[in-house]
Amino acid sequence: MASDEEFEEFVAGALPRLLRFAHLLTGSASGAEDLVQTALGRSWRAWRSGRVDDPQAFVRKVMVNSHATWRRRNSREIAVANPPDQVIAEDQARRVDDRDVVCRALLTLPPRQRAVIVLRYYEELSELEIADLMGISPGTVKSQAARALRHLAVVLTAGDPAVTRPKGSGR
Amino acid sequence: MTDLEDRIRAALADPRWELPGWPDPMRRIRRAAARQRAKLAAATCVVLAAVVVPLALLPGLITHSSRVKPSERVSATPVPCRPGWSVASGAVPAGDHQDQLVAIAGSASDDLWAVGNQNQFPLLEHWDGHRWAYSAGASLGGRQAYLTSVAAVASDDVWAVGNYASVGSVPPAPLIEHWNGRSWSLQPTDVLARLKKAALLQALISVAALAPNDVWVLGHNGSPSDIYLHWNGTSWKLLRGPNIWPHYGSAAMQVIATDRLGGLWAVGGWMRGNGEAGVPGGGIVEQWNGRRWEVNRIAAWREPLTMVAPVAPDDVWAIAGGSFTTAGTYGVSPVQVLHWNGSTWRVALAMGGATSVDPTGLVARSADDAYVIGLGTTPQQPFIDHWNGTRWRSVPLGPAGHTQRPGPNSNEVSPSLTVTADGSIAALDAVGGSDRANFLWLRCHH
Repeated sequence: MASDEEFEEFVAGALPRLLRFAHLLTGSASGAEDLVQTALGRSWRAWRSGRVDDPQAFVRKVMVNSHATWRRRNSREIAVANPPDQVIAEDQARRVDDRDVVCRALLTLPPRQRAVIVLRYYEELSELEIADLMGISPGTVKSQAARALRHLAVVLTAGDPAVTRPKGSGR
Repeated sequence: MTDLEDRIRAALADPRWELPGWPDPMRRIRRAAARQRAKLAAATCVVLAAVVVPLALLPGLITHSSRVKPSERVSATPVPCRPGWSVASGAVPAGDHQDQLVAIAGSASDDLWAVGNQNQFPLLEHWDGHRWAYSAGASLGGRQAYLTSVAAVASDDVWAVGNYASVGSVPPAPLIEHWNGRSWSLQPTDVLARLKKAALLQALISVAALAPNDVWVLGHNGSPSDIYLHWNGTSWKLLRGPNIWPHYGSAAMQVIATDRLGGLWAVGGWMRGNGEAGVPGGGIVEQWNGRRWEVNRIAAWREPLTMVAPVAPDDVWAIAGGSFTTAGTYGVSPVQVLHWNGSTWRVALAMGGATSVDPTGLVARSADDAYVIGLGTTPQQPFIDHWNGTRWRSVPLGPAGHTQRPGPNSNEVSPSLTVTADGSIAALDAVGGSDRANFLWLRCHH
């Protein structure tokens, strides 16, 4: 039932999105690859023992929950978005510029708050779904999200976070 | 707040977060899974190893562990070709997680090349007997690529093959690089343009070099037969492998190698059905008869063959089962070391199932001298087994810390093995991740 072929098929289809999701969580390309690799390894083992019906949900769960521990272990990791190589010309669309600023601001969030934001605004999950996935109460999801939004609002009104933020945010 | 939420959505949807895909995801996943299994079993051993290794550095205290012998101590600048493992210094970039060295070859124990990829770009490292150093490959104009195999004729004549990564609508394409003693240069592969129809599946997977004017490359192109490229010193020629369709299915040759008399061998398997829909069938041996590649029908085997180490026409070592790669990678059981005496295969070593052992390299110098390297998965640790003509013996690997692979974040890379042009044996276990290190083991030719 839980055949290797099915899992391979799932991986082939889901990998780009998983990598993207991990990149959003970790803020670093190499961190994202490590995270996806680890999560898929764990999921594959679970899959083979027949403990998984929905691999997509399972992998996402493993990723979110191992991410916080990873960050603790990996104090060397510094959350910095790819800084733009060239200075963005002032006459360029404000939208692009803003996205860059918001991306940097997102990386100043602590891991679990960032996970809540990514799950809510990228994966478009409900508070209940996020609570289930992260193993916390819906109330905690709500408060984490509110705290994250407050933090972002402050950082974004204060200007470019890359300037205001002290080195890294490996909290 | 709504405005902020919209801005967040836009930032999260930004293309900057996209990352390139992986060449062979299942292989990577299997490795990660194996490592995790090992970690569960070895959680306590890691703590022990952390204590034992520093102690092992102090002579006199090493009686602590019977596995740690003085000759296997960690050394920053190893004596060239001292038998045993050496942790090679150099070529370890600070904090890089992405190094994947997958193959090794060289002219001598102090002239080894290891190739692979780093963050989707070709990675070439050179061992001069004292340390590893990066070598800049040929300029690829910024294109992503990875190397899969390397072969050396001499210190100034080394070949590395691999593939460009597919990026968006740009399909993967074959890559061949040559070392002339001073620099790597790109070889023209336009001979493969003829295969455009199946361009999406082109992949160069193995290289064997007999002489400066006699180099062979094995590749897949998605048709039922594989392709062989031959370099005659001035140009490349394309040859198709024997067409076994529809008799068996489609061929998936895994590796090409040369015996001591210059004979050419390729082993692999066939698939029932084509491409990803297929399932592994039996093993195939193909040989070059001087004019074309042909199937050695007597040497067929029940399971796909994944590695070969030919010594002579009547003395060939092979591995059946293990990681069999076509459009995907299949773990094929049972895993067995086979020996061919010219008329029949004999099972020389039954290694178990593909979930408990993953052989990643095989070399042989005679019927009485063969090595197989790989990873055991429960717990996961590298091993080398040696056949001395009478029995198999596990070669002790040191330092103790290495037998439990280090690092929670290390990338899993297959240990690889080679016989150098001068007859020395070299084994490399390159561990990626935050505890990145090249563990090198040498047996010199005297």
